[in-house]
Amino acid sequence: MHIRRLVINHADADDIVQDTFVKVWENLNNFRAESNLYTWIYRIATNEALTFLKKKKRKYSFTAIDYYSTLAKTLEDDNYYNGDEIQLLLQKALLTLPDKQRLVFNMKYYDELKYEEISDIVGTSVGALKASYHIATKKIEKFILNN
Amino acid sequence: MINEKVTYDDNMNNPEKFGSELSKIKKENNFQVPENYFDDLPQMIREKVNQKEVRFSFESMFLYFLKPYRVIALGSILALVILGLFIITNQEQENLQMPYDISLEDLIQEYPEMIEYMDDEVLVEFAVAQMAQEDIYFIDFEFGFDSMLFQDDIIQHLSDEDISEIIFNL
Repeated sequence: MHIRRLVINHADADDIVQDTFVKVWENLNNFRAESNLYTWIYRIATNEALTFLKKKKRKYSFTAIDYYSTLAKTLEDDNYYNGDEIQLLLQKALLTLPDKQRLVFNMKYYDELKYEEISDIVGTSVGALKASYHIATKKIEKFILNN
Repeated sequence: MINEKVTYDDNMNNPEKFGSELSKIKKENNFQVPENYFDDLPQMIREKVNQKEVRFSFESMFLYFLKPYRVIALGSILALVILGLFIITNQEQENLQMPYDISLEDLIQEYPEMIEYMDDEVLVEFAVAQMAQEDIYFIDFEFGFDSMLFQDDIIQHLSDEDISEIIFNL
């Protein structure tokens, strides 16, 4: 679900999930027990999803189309999304955020992870995460009010 | 309106209680997956792992040797292998020729039983090779010629005569 919230589209999320587990399988020997297996897999999944988004953005940068606007529109007709109007609005608001802000918001708000856990996964300081989350919520509120 | 009373720390530490607008939205998961998706997922991952292992042997080998220094290293190794094979092959040929450096008399003296196992053709070849190597001149040879004998001529002559007699007369 973490990947799906980031890439929105089920088919893309499916590919990334599979790639994530293939990577986990290939690098299992490199896994160090000092870090939590859950955190390690979470980190791989996050990196895979962010890399995917970066590639997509690069691909769309040659066109006049904004990739995130496209994602927001596809969500409206997505057979595998059943949110009501306000939920859809929230997703659209999230898609206006930079990837990393959206990532932090999802992990804190939906996955209900502690800042320390998020810090372990994304490798950012707790302070920076708090600031990022605060900015994200403000932007979301603003978007909802304006729409 | 954004609730201005919500502090920075409240906002960050209690996501459910922050800003008025966001707190009104029920936190729920609206993303769904096709039926049996999670049942089929392990199999799909296994297939992907297998595909990747097959592709590894071809693609990764190609990609591995894309770098110039690796091409040079591979070329050097191949050159060394070819040179090694060339040297070994030459040595084997020299080894094969070695028996011709031994005189036939010595050979027969050392291994008299050998003569029984060597057919005429082998003995003639042996004798010819020895003669050719030593530039032997046959003077007053029973065939009546006294010039330097060439290998083909010798073979021609020897083939027409009693082989064992000639050999023992050498």
